[in-house]
Amino acid sequence: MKKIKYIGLFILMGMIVSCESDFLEPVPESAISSAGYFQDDDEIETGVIAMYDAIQGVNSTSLDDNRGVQIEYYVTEMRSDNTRTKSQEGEAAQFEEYTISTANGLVANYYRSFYNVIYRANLVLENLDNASAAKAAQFEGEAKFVRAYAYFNLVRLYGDIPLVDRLIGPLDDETAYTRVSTSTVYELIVSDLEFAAANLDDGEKFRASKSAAEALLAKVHLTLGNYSEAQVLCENVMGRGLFELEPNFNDVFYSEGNDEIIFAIAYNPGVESDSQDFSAEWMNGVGRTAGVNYVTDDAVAAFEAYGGDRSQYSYRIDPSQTTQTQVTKYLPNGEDGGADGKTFSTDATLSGNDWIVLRYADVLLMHVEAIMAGGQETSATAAISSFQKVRDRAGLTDPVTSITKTDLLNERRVELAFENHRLFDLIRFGVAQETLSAFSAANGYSFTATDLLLPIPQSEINLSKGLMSQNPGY
Amino acid sequence: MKIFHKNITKHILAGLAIVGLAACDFEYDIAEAGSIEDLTPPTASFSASQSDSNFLLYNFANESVSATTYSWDFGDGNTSTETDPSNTYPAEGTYTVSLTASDALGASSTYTMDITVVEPEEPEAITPVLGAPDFEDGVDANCLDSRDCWRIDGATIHQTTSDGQDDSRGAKYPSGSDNNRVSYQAFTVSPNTKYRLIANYALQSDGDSVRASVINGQLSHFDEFADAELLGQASGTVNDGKGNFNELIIEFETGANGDISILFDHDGNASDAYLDNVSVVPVEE
Repeated sequence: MKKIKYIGLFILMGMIVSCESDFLEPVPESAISSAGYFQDDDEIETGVIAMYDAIQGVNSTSLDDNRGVQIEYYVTEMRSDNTRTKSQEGEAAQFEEYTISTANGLVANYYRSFYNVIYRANLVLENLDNASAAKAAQFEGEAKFVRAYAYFNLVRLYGDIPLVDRLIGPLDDETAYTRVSTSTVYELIVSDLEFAAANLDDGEKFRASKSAAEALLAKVHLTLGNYSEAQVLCENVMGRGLFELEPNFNDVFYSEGNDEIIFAIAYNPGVESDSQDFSAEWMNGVGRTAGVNYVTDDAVAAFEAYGGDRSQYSYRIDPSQTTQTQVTKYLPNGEDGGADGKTFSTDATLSGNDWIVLRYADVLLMHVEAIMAGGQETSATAAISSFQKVRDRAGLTDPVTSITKTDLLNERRVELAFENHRLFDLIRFGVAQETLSAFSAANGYSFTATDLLLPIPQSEINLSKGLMSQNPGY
Repeated sequence: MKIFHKNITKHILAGLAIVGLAACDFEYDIAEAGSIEDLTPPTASFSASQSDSNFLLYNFANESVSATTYSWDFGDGNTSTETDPSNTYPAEGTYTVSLTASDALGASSTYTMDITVVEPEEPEAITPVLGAPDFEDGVDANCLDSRDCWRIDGATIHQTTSDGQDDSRGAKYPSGSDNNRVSYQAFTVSPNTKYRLIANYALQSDGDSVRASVINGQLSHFDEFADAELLGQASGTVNDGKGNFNELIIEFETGANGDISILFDHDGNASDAYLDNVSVVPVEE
């Protein structure tokens, strides 16, 4: 009987000892979970890489996957006067026709993708306590750069949007669905980029750098009309001497990581998890679509007037359909597609061309824009010097003596065509409504002023339990 | 009984027919009870932007919600029913623009905004007002002692003299390298603009000089001058003797920063040197 008592006591003690939480909730050994992760620099760095991975997006034919920057041309370039679908079919044609449905899957996918980028940046920011002193500022700078980049795209595309500046739980509807004014969103963008510019170093092109943060912040300030701030930031980047124009325009797109690139999203060919499909989609029936991001006659006319040497490297007549014109800036893995323009030795849908976000020519033209300071013309020496560099590279070496706002907008159009700048440029220059109304009327599209913003995805409004309202005109 | 029955049937049929006829009169009336009110009445709103090419032309962006038809009154007698119209005004002035947005149920909303049509002015370059540019005392309220407008910490100010240009007062830099006097003044001009600095100097010995520097930025102490970024620098070296002044001209162009300064100094002259009548003016193009 006594023995039984002791045995009972041992069992009881054993239970007390073994009931610690790591016994009942063991950390899985064969998989990684977020709880208990991000303990040191190496683990946090995987979180940093995951932010860029979210921008890169998933190479997939399903809109259930976050496609990231791979579908950005739909919601930017194809809403401008530069590109359209080849065959005016399906959801994609809503962009060129300005008849975008609130249920458009691409609009929802871009929104979701870039809030996922923001989530991953916030995840890094919340775990900085575990980073070493040497690395913490760099990780924070990168996360804030990426978050600002995502918000800058979202706020320009959707207008007032929810401001999520920390990790939120699934029940925090208030934060997830309350639209805040664009000025509040811009406050976060500016403070994030100022931190990034002050704390990052140069040297990386496929991750955030000091110059990338300054160049992006310059564009933010131009958008907000803060011209002298923008000018100083452009001159910082120019004065550092780390970047220069590629002598041959074509090399900008086919010599990866070249001297002109300030920030790009890297892709690798042949690997489904690390490649992109937009290069294929822009060809004739090579990707999932019959062909999208085809060049408008309006853009061809602009190239013929202002393009210089750039025209031959920017677009071509589609060899399979000679009434159509296609983009050649991001040909799949640099292959021209042979005689019919759609025969590739590698898998075009798994292309490795990097997506350029910021390059030096953009900074030079932003410098001109900053000096023009919202005016109609400038003949300042510094502006002419920057402008002339971009034109000289295009073979347009006639000396420029003064630059009008229209000259600058045309120059940006042909220099940066099909790189998702045109719509934002038109809006920033205050000529979007005039330009796109005329373009729409000439092509039988149905542009109205409210088309300058995308609709908030209907799926978000449905989930918001009445917190979210739709943009006017939808 | 059967007859009575028949009659009743007739009467009922007749009654039904009358009711039926009468009811036809109400065919297009919507019953009040059970009808749903207009839950999404229109809200009118718009913004206006001036065209770059013609300042009298305004483009209107319709930001109304839940509306199908629009009626615009531009305040100058012109009207429109377009969604995003544009209007060319007859002249400068303030106009009251109103937009009435209606939906198909007849509900409407009106939004009114005043717009002021003015020709945008070419921004004129700032012409800076220098303190005591002619080194006269008792003229400029900010520096009754004219030297007070030209001082900088860490350096000795010039002497004043009656041997200025046209026998007025001027600045004097006594000879000798141990007597390096400096005149400094900070002011604001327009960014990214071409300017011309003109100063008049007189020398008495060959090899002497008066140096002028235009600094991008403003200094709080003279020891910052050595590392300051210069927009322009030149020395006047023509020796025509005391009282015979020559112009020293520097053309410079400002950058992003309009806060600049000028500094005059010399390097161990053999004889006294003089400076007078300094001006900074934008270069007309």
